[in-house]
Amino acid sequence: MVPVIGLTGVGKRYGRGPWVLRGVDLDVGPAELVVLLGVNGSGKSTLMRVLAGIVAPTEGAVAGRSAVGFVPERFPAGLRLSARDYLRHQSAIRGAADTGMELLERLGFAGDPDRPMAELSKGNTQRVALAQAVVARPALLVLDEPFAGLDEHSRAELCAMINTAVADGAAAVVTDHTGTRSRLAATRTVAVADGSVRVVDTDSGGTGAVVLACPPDLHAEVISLPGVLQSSRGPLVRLEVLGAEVDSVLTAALALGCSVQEVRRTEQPA
Amino acid sequence: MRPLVRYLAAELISSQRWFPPMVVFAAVFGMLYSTGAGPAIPAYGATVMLLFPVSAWLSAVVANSEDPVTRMVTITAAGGWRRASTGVLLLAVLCNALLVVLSVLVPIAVNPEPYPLSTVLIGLGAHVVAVALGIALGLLCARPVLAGPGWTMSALIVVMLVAVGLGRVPPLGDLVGQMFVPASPSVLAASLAWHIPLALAVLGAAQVVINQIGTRRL
Repeated sequence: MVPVIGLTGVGKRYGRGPWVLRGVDLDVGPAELVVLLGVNGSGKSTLMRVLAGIVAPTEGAVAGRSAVGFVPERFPAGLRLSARDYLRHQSAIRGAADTGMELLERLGFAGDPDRPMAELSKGNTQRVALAQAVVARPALLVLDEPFAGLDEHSRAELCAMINTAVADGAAAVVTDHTGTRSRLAATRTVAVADGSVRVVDTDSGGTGAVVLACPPDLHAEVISLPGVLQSSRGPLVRLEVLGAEVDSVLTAALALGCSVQEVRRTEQPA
Repeated sequence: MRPLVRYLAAELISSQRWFPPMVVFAAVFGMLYSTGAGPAIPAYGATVMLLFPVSAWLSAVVANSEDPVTRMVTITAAGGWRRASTGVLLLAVLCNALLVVLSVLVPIAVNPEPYPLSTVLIGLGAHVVAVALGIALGLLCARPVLAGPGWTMSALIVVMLVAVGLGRVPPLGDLVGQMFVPASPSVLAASLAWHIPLALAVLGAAQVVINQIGTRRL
């Protein structure tokens, strides 16, 4: 199988800064859907940019360059072009005949498509970001937190779109903090930790959602515990942990001085 | 490439950031010619001197106008950083071509005395030198080489002060000096014969540097 995109020994650092990625090997073939997990600061977004062909790696090789649909982690809110104009221009750059307006509607867009995008809600801006990525049916979809800011209906619709694109032969790499990814027909789940990637098995043991109250200085230590797949940080630290590691993460977190607020198994083993 | 330039132009127009450099250009240009600028070639020399900083500023605005994150999206749509940066370069060239056309043609329209073809061609060539260098400088002072409008403006001002301090040296100062004298058309033509290729080579080299840095920085 010829991969749509293949990374070999990829490393990335900005200037003389620390290595964000190091020794990353990742092949994504046609009709493959890879879910990418990783805690904050794990190099996930940088890896997505390398996959999308936006940045060149500092070392290693990237093979396979095809049309890429990219959704950035945070699509900016201040755009002065209207949604209609932005999508029309973006699909014209891609050489697509479709203007993307039907896609936008399917995704539940509820704003005024002819007013500046700065006036749109976060969810509607995200729908525009999604529409531009899928409008030209690219061979590779690189979607960084595509479900963020969407309501239930739009998430279901987006899952269906991604699954259909992959069934039709596209390759997709998706990150997700919302838990919606369980409804994607993922062929592999890959975790980014300390700048490199490894395949994780979330099917056999499921995953657990752990909510902790931690002193702020312990945050970095907690998210680097073995088995922690994702983290998000508010007043409380929310972790997603590999099913088999939930107990050990809780033990370690308690020993560090954190307090457990909530534990929930998000996916029961089959 | 055309849809990309059209998108970047639409984005630039909607941002209104093109307005300040254009106002400065219009104001100084108007002052130069409202009172009668005197002989044609020295007057052209004055607008060549004006166009260098204005084109640098305008080109930096062209390069910095799009939000860095939507620029990433545009890079994927265009099929890579090189194509996106070529689109930025083409838009900067188009905007500055407008300034060159105005600078060369408006004096012909407003001045009663005739402009021989040689004068017009010398004026055109000299303005092309100024904007080619201006575009190179403007793009080098903008993202992704220098991030943030504060850095961009500081760098542009420093380069302009250095250029003024250096005085009549290539690739632009000596040419403007010759125009102020003014040297004979044949001397100016001979001077342009190497100034134009040099300025275009500088622009080409700038674009190579920008392409190198772009894929590493983003």
